Amino acid sequence: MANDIAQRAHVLRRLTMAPALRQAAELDGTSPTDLVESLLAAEPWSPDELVLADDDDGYSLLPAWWIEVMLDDRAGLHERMTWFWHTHLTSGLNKVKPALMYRQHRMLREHAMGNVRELLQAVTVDAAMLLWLDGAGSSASSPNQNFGREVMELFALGHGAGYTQADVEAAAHALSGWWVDGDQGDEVRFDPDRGPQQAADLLGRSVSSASEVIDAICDHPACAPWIAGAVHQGLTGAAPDEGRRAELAAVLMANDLDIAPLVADIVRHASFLEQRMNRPRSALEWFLAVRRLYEVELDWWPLDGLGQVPFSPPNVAGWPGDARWVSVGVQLGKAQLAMDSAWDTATLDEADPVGDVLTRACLHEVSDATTTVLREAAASVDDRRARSSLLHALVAVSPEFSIA
Amino acid sequence: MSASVFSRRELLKWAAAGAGAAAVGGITYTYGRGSTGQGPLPVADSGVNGAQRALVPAASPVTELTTPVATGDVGSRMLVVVELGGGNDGFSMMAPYGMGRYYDLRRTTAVAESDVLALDDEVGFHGSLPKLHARGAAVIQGVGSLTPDLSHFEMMSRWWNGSPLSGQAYDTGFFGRLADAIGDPAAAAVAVSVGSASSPALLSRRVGTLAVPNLGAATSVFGAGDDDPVRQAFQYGFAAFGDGDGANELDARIRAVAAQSTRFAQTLSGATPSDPESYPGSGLAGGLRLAAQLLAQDAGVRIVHVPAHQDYDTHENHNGRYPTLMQDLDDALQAFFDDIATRGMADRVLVMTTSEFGRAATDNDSGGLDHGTASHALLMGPVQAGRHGEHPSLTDLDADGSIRATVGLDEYYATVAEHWFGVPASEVIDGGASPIPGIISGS
Repeated sequence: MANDIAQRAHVLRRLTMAPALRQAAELDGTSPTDLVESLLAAEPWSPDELVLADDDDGYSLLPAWWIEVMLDDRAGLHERMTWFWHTHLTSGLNKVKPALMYRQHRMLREHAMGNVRELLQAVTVDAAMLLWLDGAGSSASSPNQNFGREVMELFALGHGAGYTQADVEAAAHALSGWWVDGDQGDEVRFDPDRGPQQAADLLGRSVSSASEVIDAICDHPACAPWIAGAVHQGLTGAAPDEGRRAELAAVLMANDLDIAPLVADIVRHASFLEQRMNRPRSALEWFLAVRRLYEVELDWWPLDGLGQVPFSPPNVAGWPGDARWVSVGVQLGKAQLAMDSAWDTATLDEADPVGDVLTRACLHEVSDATTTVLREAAASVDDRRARSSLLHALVAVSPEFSIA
Repeated sequence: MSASVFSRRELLKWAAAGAGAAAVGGITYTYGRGSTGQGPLPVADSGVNGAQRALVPAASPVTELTTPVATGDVGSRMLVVVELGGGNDGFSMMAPYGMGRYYDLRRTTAVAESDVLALDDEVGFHGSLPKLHARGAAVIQGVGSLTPDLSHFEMMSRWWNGSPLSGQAYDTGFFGRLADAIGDPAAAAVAVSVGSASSPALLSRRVGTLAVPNLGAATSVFGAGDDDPVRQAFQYGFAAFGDGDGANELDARIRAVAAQSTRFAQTLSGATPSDPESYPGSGLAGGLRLAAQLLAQDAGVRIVHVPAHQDYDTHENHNGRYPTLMQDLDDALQAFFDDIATRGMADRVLVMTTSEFGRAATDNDSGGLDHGTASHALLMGPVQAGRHGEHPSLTDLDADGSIRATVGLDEYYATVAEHWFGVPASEVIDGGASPIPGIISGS
């Protein structure tokens, strides 16, 4: 039976991007369920606009900007859901310029706890998405199938949900005609001459516009279970079992596909506090946690080697499953960053440096095996400063710190 | 979840019954399978000396024109798998410029006849592959599945898994099974994927497999500053986390990975780096450079898997993007083969390409090619250069208007297993797929 502090740390790891320094300890007196409720009730925070000048390196500044936003004390569950939608409705800098990725990001922030239908409608005619999945410039005479396929396979229904190649072609037809006007501020425009000239039969319904495509998809019986499963996976690391998936889909449908009631149902469920220490931290979560723990500036580029740079998903399916964050490549990359960046970390308590560093890191469920290693390593270094750096670095590569 | 024809149980039953040669839905690959196969199809008399419509540019720095002969020591053979992510268009990599129908199907994306590096009067390599054309490669034509799926992720799963039918036919990956069959369980790793996260293709049972993004990640912890007591204490702790018992399943897995990381990093701390100047700057070249170093280390790594980005997914502007992809591939492979030759390993390293599917038979209005089915694959190194298997038909398309595969991906894999590594195909592939003879010397 874990105590409140361990459960608070768990809630912070799952519902924010990374706990702040000593946050689980400093919330002393707040019950884990109260903490969940306060995160649910928090107003979305809107960070200041990022202004990218023409000669700025947006490819570098944009990920750096979001990382700072994620580390702000006002960034909570809304921020995590914004990140979730980025991992689910992907677009990336390898194909889309920073200004448009930023525009898409503000759109995802706006809808993060809003409504699935409105979100999918918005993302379908979002400039970055039109470029990322080749909707831009697609014409009805021989339309591009990329977005039409992936919106069903990955975003809204799931592979094997019952749609056919004919449905992919119908969706592509009805989605045609959109383009991004590079001469006029990358405004998204619709050209009726290149758009659908007649209705197409999609999922048993007649559709003749992008908006009708999204409505047909959102009304398909596979949509609510697919979205419910994805959000559950995003917040807990595990797919819901079939019964639970059906319950969550019912919640989503009963609320006209509003996202907030779905999220609330997931995190208020008894299993949410019980199922702890069973999801690997993603590379980004780990990096953010190191930033919190070390209290030093870190360039984001090591995230490239670790395999997770914001705004640069590896492909349209987003980052691979949680299990793949436990790998030799990631472990060695963590070790390199952890040791090389630890020299300016805080000086730890003289009497109990191990307890101090664990509290800073919000680690309150630590095995004896780990504390023994930390104690033995600390004992081998006499200098207090060097010992403090060593303990920060070792905590960062400890098994418990790799778990969300 | 999967739209595959068979459930896993059905598939195993099917395989166990020796029904591998049975056709799926009444259709068979053109190329024979198992005992019911009709034997090898004639290999086109072509290769680097075949009729050439376009000559290799004189300035092309081709260094190696003789194909190495494979070492007879099968136990020392190694494999590099280059995964062309996104779906590589076989008909652009090796254009059927002499088949008139090609220019009907591809109104805007065909390779112009003047840009083809001919192999014979039917087909030729893309004009951006001059070094490959000069060096020679075995082209396995029309590789894929007869029950194709147009989803990237379903088809990637099948290729990783090693089944043309389902991405869940096995609970291991094909290259993981191959590593299990040839590798030493005492080695830190037998198969390595270049990257931060391990590939499902390398899931194994008996031997270690892993992923590593670069040599620096492996050598910075061990092998640097070893006389510094703080670094020593860090190395001690990093390794000791791998010794502890796990508090739960995930904790145990993380500790096992920590232990493997320590062993692998210690193994690699003495690796001889390849000259970075001799490789181009592309990600693919970096991956192949790491592959050369890992294989040359001779520390048990026998298979290196190099994922080469997703850019092959050319839904739009195919003719603007594809030449760059081919040039990157050509330059990176040449640097790799030069490196391997310098290290005296040319007779024991085979390079194969994979890609989840080819592109659509016809182009779209974006000047691009949507998802397709079968594609060509390349085997390079000590191989019989030229065309192998049968070229897919450009007129007899399937119900979706896609190319019909002529070689199953399992037959392609069986060839590498049996003829390169001497591993009977049935040990790593269910369903009775037979290797394609005449590609690897002695087969």
